[in-house]
Amino acid sequence: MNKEKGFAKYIRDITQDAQMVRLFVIMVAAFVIMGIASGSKFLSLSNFQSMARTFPEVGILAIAVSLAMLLGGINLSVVGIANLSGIFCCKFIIATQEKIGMWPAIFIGLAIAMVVGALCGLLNGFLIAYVGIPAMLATLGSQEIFTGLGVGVTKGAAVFGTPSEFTFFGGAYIFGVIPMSLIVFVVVVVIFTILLQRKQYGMELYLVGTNAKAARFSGIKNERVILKTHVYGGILSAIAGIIIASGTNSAKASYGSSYVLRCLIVAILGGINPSGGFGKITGVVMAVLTIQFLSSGFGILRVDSYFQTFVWGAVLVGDMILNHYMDKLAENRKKKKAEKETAS
Amino acid sequence: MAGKTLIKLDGISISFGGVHALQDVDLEILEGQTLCLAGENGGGKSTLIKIISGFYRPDRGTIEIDGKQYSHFTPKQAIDLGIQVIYQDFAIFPNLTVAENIALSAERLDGRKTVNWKNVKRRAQEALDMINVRMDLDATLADLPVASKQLVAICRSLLQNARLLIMDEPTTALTKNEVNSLFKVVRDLQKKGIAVVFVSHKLDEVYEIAEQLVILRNGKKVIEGPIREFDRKRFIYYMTGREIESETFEAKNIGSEPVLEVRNIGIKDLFADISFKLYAGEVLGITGLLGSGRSELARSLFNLEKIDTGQVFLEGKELKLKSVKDAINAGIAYVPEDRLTEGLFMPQTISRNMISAVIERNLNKAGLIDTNGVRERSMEWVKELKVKTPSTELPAQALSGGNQQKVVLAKWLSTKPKVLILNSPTVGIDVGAKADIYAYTRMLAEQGIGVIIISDDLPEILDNCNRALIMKRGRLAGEFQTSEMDETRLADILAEANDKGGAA
Repeated sequence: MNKEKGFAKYIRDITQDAQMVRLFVIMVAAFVIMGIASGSKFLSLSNFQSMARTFPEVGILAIAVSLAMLLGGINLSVVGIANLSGIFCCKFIIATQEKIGMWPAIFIGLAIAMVVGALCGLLNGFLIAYVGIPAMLATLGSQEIFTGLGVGVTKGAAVFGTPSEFTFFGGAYIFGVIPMSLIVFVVVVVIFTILLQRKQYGMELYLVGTNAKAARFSGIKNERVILKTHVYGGILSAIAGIIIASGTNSAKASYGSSYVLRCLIVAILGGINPSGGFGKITGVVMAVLTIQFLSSGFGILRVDSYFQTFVWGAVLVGDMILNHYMDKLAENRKKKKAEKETAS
Repeated sequence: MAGKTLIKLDGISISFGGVHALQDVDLEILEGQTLCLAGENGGGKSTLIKIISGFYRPDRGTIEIDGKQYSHFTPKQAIDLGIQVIYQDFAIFPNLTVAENIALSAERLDGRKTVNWKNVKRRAQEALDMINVRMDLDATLADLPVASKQLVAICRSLLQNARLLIMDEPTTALTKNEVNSLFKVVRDLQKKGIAVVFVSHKLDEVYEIAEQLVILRNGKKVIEGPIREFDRKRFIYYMTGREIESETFEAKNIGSEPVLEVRNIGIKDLFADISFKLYAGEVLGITGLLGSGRSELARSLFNLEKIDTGQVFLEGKELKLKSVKDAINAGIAYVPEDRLTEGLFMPQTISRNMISAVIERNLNKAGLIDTNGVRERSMEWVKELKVKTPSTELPAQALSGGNQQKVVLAKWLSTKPKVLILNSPTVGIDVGAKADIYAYTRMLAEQGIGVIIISDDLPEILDNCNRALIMKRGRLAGEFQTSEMDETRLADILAEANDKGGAA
């Protein structure tokens, strides 16, 4: 038996997964097309840096949405959580930086953002697992609650006045080249890939998402898995919220309102099955990169932003059509092979 | 009774994804004939039906109807030719009335743009008269029992001028009385010259209703002939391809101390005052009619339902269970009644299914899932239980019913139980897999595991348990040694229990 270990084995499994290979092809195609169409500007270091600064926000939020989708649910409140966490973080830093010093204020502020995110996730998880509200309705409602709270705290205005050092988490370049937000994204991806593929929690998440009843009969504590998933989703949203707040050095209840739909598109394009139980973080990463290549390319080509929305939709629908025909092709190939075997 | 040829299949072959579902199958059905299509799951029965009904297009072979040859036909053509299939789920509209369900598709065939509601009721009544059944035309289908839904489906197909009626396992969800009235309807249809193809693996019913028997195995027709030429042994032999010995279980080494003891347990409105002991090495049966509380009792032992009163002892120690996980860790395993919704994660891999009850026992030192170990252990279970699959990484839904049930069994045995509770373990499973599962439970009992089989399949209880309890309306109504009981008497006791229950 083949006994590869760790990363090598993971890569081998991915290359055997037709869906992942397909996503990889789409991603490379998007890159090549944009590289040819918009030429040297697209392939420049500054464009790469700008892309690498931008996509982690959506990428992390899309992972949060994907977790909820693996349960067969959804999370429409990720942007609300991100903004609320960002607001609390900034407010705290502004209020305390003179009393306790700037860096302590920043770090406690970050911790507060995470705690706010976790609490928001806890509310979502509680509504879904224990009150029994469908995820779509629960998170639609909580999105309004979180945004409303944010507006209430800020009176609708942006929160300014955080020290420039706060921009380190969303705006700094490590060694002057690699954006900090990209590093955060990579860390998140590694942690959640391991969590989903190799930890007990991940296996339980997939099983509950596949068949909640059978999971209960197998001794899995469904409510706890749901609660945990939404707490993770809340923390991830808070991390995205920190990156957004840090990138703009401000926080506002209405930032990123277009992100929710974009996260959904990324998750579905990334192969997360909306009815639960199937999908990988790796797919989500490739999907968010694909969308980013297209966005940047179109930006350089000065394409109307309405047209960009159209293209995202077209890519999503196109991927599903491709899925359908590739599956058919595979079926036919098997059939032909079988016929040959019979004939010989 | 049978007349001239209605439909003739010649050399039908079809394969899916490299698997030959049917190979070179010939079949002739006569007018007014009742033909039984038998075979184990995965034998090709469903595929054959779907070819006759135009759902699949065969790779090779021809179909001849009314002297005309077809290489295949569309579902619409099949309906026009008078071929009607009643699937297990009946394909009815639960939110419509009886009349609408029966007559709307025939109305649609008339090709008018609007519905004539008077006509709908008249036609529905005519169809019901044809099979001598009375039913409220305005009742909503969702409110009716399964048997009535089935009759509605039959009526609908009659209105579409059925000449050949195919019924896919029509008796699965019916009571004995309902089966009898269904058979009466089938005989009436036969007198009208309508041919009926009956798919079943319940031997008794096949003997009762069929004239002609066709057995499929691994996609090939293995034998065909009048039913009177087949005794049970020959029937089973052709179905499974092997001789199956059915030998009554005798508990050889019964332990001196009970492994499980139940004292006066009850759940409000479900069952009350249940006490029994289960010794290691025993196979204890629990039987009773539907609604007698037998399933609820089993679920409560596994903590899926919380008991209100009473105590449960495992190996002399009282169990205080808070969750299903506690029950599993204490050494109780429960193979549920419905493997599709309760037992398995159908689209997930066989190996994932097998470890799903004890994921935490499959971690390595770093706290990560030991994927290689999981694969190896799953492969061992596949060999041990003779699961027919090329790989443990296939989804469970790729397997036949019997093999799926073996996966469920493996899942629960890998929890290393002291008490194994099997609820209706062989429903919808073919004879071969049944025998494997029975043989395995016997072996487990001999190894000192306490086994409980809950079932309303009386031969199953009598052949495989050494002792059995009878449940009636939520209470224990009797206990017997299976060696001192026979099927007729047991059936009488159960029926009697029911009558008394009804009178009370």
